[in-house]
Formats: sequence, structure tokens, C-alpha cells
Amino acid sequence: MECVVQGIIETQHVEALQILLQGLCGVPKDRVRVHEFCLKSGPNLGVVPSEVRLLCDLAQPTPTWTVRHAGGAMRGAGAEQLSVLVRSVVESKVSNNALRFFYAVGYKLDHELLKIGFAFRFQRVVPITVTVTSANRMPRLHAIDDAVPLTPGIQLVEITAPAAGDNYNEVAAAVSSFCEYLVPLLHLSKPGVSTGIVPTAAAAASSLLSNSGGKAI
Amino acid sequence: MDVGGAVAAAKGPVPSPAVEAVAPPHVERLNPVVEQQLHLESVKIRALALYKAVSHILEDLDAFARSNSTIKWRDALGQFSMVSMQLFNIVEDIKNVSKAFVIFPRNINAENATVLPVMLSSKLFPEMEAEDIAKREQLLYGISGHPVHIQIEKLKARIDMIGAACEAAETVISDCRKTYGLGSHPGSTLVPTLDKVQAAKIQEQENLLRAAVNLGEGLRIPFDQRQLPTSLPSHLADVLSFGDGAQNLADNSGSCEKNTPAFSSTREVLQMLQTPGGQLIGRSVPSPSNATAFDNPSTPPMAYANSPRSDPNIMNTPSPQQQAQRQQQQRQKIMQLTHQQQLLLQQQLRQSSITGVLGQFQSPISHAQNCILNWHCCGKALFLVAVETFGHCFCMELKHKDEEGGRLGRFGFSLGIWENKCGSGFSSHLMDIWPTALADENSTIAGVRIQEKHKHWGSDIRSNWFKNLSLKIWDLPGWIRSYLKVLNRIDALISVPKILSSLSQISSMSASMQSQSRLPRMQFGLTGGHLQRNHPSQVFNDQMFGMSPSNPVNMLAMQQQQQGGFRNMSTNAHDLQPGMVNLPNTIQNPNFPQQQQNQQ
Repeated sequence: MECVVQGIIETQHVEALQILLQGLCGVPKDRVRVHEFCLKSGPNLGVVPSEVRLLCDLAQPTPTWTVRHAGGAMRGAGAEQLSVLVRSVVESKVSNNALRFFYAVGYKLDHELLKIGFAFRFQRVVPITVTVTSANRMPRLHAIDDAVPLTPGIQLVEITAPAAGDNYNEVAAAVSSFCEYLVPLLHLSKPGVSTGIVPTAAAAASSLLSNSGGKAI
Repeated sequence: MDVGGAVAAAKGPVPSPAVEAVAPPHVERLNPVVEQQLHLESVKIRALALYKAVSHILEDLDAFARSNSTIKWRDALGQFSMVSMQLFNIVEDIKNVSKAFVIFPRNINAENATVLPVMLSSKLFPEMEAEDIAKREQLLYGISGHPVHIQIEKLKARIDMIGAACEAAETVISDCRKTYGLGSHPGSTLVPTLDKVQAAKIQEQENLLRAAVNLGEGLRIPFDQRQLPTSLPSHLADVLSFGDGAQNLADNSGSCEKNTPAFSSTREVLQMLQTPGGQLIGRSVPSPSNATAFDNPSTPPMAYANSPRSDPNIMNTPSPQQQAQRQQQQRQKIMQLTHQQQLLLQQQLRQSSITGVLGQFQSPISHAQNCILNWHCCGKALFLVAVETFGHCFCMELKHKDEEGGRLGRFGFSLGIWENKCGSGFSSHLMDIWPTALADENSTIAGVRIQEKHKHWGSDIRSNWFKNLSLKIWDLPGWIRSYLKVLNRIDALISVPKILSSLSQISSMSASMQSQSRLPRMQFGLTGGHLQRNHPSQVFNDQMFGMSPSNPVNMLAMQQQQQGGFRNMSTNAHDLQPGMVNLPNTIQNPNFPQQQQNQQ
């Protein structure tokens, strides 16, 4: 399971957000360049199509593949009170033949996406991952080099933390409290809930950039 | 007035009215009410007591200093705190009423620095006094003759008017500030609000982005544009190969029943391979979506070795040789195929040229391989994968070695190595596929019941699982039927009823052939020119195709048998069972070497 929130930030403030996260997390940032394949199962695998995502991490010298299946979100009154989305997730590293495997099993490529950005992975009560990426679409199949940003002016910020069935409340609280630190720059909410941008983000960003003008990260 | 003076001296400057009350002959009295409130007598007594206490403390401190003895600071501080409390109380008592005529300056700052001396002075300078008188006359110009209370009222009215004017001016100034965004002084910074148009744009972009990332909206390439590029990125070059891409793309409706351009070109190849005389070397394997399942279904294909209809002597006659020659010419047309398919075929041809004996089988082989290629590329390789699961290891890479030592086309269907670090869900999800694929709509299949859902694909558990599975399979020949159910998924590729009927006679066969070879070495027919089909898995594969005699793969198998490299094949269908039955016995590797000896 994981707790996840998403938010958007204008591209011009991404650098300020990076500085803020650098200060909050205390770890160096990781480059993110992920080619994401979203595979949908064919009718031979059941009436209800299931979705599986294959993530190829291109930031490493040798591409590493991960398979990921995100289940449905937790529902109920308790889930509605949480400010984060809790959903079941299965993730595993796989070899590079996974794509062929899935094709052979009967999955079809539904869409693909290239995510470019950075991420911070740190520990704050629970391991938290903050990812800031721009979503790029490929005009032709697998044409990574021709990828163009889907929304040039806006990037997506995603905060995830792994959770278990018995501790998701604490994890949700930890993620929520961390999100409070980011309020000057962005609003975070459950995926699917629109937040808008923070109007005063420009002021916060300028102050962040000016304070740390001398720091080269 | 001495009392008043003394009181004032203790606390601050002498109030000027009190002083004035002294100087002029007309003695002014304090307002009786104020006087009552002041409680001058009591205040005086208290002040005196305070004075005495302070002086007492000072004397004590003096004595301590002279005697050089250590001061008992605790006591001293206690006395001091008592004294300060008394002072505080006195000041509080008269503070409330002294505002009218007493200045009690706590601090001097820029505001009152110029005013304070004037207010503290008992008498103004003559010039200032003259100014003061002049201003007073100006103020009271029109009303000086009136009684005092009227003067007071009029002055109040003037003050009110001035106050109103000031307020109006304030509002006007603040409005202008807001309008022009001037807000310069601290504390009144305006919150920047987004322009509505801008906000709408951002909202739209946000929705686009969220939908794309979470749901994939706006990222789906139209079906007609989904063609594999000739140059794949490096991380995909090894992963995807010819024929993988286009056929594995779901259209937007999610159906996998569409004919893709790449596929259709392959079909054309297959048709090209048909001899002009209408003699089918092999039946072309159409797309599952193709309504016309087979070309020339009425034309029975040639009888091949090992076919139930075949002549036992056919093994000795190079029957398709002429056709092969013709097709070798037609192979040139294959070069017009897509890049990936060209690679495949070239590889096949290259490889097959190693052994010249096999030349006669090249085109049928390539044809068969094309068929299998198509079949595979249709994404209906559930069969393959199902076979794989019964293999030794779920994480196998198909390698193929031929006797010549050359590495023939390794169109290996390699499965990913699952390092399941995070948990179980996906493996169990995968496990769910198999029961679905194999056992749905048929509850009577006892063979393959994947009952144990192993949460972790640890190697020990894995091998145990397969051991259990193989045991079950052995017990129940119905496994074969379940296997065929898997095949059934592949639309119209293999006519299952025919297989079923042909296999019904085999179903009674015992597990005597368990010791036969392994399955996993299933080159799925795509290795070019490989004729060392000494793996019963391949045998099985071929034979499964061979069940429908018109299947080109059957021909492939047969012809390979002719080559003599593989002697397992026998000419009757019963012997197909070894290959099939051997499938589950993948774990029992040591039996493999026996196979060749057994089946000669």
C-alpha cells in the first residue's frame, strides 16, 4: 500500500521548490527520467481489464525496469477524512524482458509517457519520496527523443510513502505534515482532486531563491 | 500645596495647573471630584512610607558595604521587591486620574521630544507664549464673546468636521492605493490575485496534466499511427524486436482484434509463399481477427510426414523439394517485408545455410516460422506462456543450441526474472492469470489447479510448486484438455476439436513417457533453420500444430524428422503424446538425456 498526494507547480518555481526540498530533506536529489508503459490486459485475461505499468529508469547507466500495479484507492469514511490517498500498490524490479512477457501474456500498450525531473527520497517517520516531473508525450511510438512536454508551464509534484494495513494512519499523518512545509509553493491533494496553483508562490519562490543565492547545489 | 508639591516630586513633574494654582492670586482648586479620586492624603502617606522604606534599604546596603560582610541578597532583594510593589500600587492609583493634568513621561521618542519640554514647562517662553495667545485668538475668533460652553461646543463641532475630512481623505487614499497597486507601506501588502483568464488557463493545464499522468488521457496514439519505428531507443532495442510492437498495441477500445499493418504485410508474405499452383506449402496463419480464417480451406495441404494422412514412405521422398525451390525464389519478395521481419528471415536463411541438407526445408521452415511469428505476434502467445509455466523455471531464457554449435536465431521468449522484493501481489496476480486462462468455463479440468498461491517466488518454493504441479499433471490426463483450453484462446489457429479427437486416443496413455525430454527448450519455431528439434517440447509444439494436418508447422516438424537429427518422432499420432506428456516434466531434467535413446 502507499499513501500518495499530488499537486502542480509552475515550471518557473520548480527551482525554488528544489531548494526548499533540499533544505527539508537533507539528501541530494535524484535525477528522474522514466519511460512509463501503461499496459492494459486483453480480453483473454478477464472481463475487466487490468492495468499494469512498466517503468524503465533511463537515468541509470543501464536501464532498469520496474513493474507496478496500482490498485484501487481505499474507500470509506475513514479514507475520506484522510488528506492523502491510500491505495494498494505492488512494485517489483524486473528484467528487461518484462515488456515482451506482458505482450505475450496478452497485455497491450495503452499509452506511454516519459517523465523527466528529479526526486528526493528521505526518511521522516516513514520513507517519503517527493517527485517533481514534467510529463512528456511522444508523438510517435517509443520516440523518446522527440518527446515534448504535455504541459510546458506546469509540472507535477507527487509525494508517496509506503504504508501497510496497520500503519497507514501514521503514514498519512507523516505525509500530511510534510506537505505543510510545502504550502508556500504548492497545494497538494489526492490524485484526481484539482488544487490549482498557489497565487503567492512567486513571492515565496523569489525569497527562496534569494536566500540561497550563494549556494550551489 | 506643599503636599501637592511633595507628591509631585515623588512621582514626576509638578503639574502646571497646580503650580499655576499657586502663583496667581486666584487659587485654583482641583476639581473636587478629581481630588476625591486622588485620595491625596492616603497617597501622600503611602508615598512617605515608600520613601522611608527605600531610604532604609539604602542604609542597609551602605552598612553592608562598610562592614564588608556579605550581603544577604535574598533578604535585600525581598525588601526591594516589596518597595517596588508599593510604588507600583501608588502609581496605579493615581494614574487613572492624573492623565488630565499630569505628564508622566516614560520615554522620550521622536514624537514627543519637541513637545515634551513645552508640556513640562511651568511657563512658556515669551515668544512661544505670544504665539500661543495669537493662535488661541485666531481659533476663538468668532466665538470668543460667547459663553464658555458655547465656545466648547463650537470647538467640538470644528474638531468633528476636521475628523470627518480626515477620514474621507484616508478612504480616498486607500482606494487609490488599491486601484494602482501601490500599497507601499508595510502591513498593507495586497494578496496578489490571479487574473481570471490566467486562472482558467492554469486550471485547464492542470486537468490535462493530471488526467495524463493518472489516466493516460491525451497520450494514446491513434491506432493508425502505431507503427514501430525503425530505430528504437537503446533500452527497447533489445527488448522489442520485429513484430512485437504493432501487434501488441491495444486500440483505444481495448480490443485486440484488429489487424495491424505489420501483420497484414506478414500475411502477404505468407500468401506469397503459396505456390502459384495453389498448392499450399502451409496454410497461412491469419490474424485472429481475420474473419476469413484460412485461405483455401478446401484445399487440403500436402501430406507431410507424420501426418495421419501421410504415406509411411513419405519420409524418404523429398516431396516438397520442388516447391521449396519455387519458394526460394519467392523469398526474394520477403525482403520487402518490414525491417524486423527481414532480420528474422535473413537470420533464418543465414543459419539454415549452415547445413546444406536443410536447404530443401528452408522455405517451408521460414513459412512455418512466419506463421508462428504471426501467431506469436498476435499476442496470443498464451500458449507459449502456459507452456512455460510448466517449465522448469519461471524465469527462463530460451537458449537454443544446435549440434553444430552455432547459435541459431534466438528469438527466445525470455521471461523476466522476478526479483520480488516488495511482496507478493504481482506474483499472485500472475498466478491468477493461469487459473483464469486454464480453468475458466471448465471446472472439470482437474489437471491444472494452481491451488497454492505462493506469495514469494523463492526458488525453493518455486521448485516445490512446480513439483506439485507436475505431480498433479501426471495424475490426470485431463491436463491435456486444460492445455487445449489454453490453446483455445488462440482464435481459430488450431482447430481444437480436431486436436481433441486426435488426442482422445492418447489420453489413455500412461505416464510412461515421463522420462522424456523437457519442455522448456521450446524454440517457438522462430529459429531459422534449426532442425535439431530434439526437444520434445519443440516436438510437442510442432506436433500440436501438426494436429491439424494442414498446419505448416507440422510440415516443419515432419521435415525435420526427415533430416534424421531427431528420431523421436514417429509417424503415428500416438507418439505425439510423449511430447505432450513430457511437458510437465520439466523439472526432471536428468531424464532428458535419456530421451533420445528412448525414442529411437
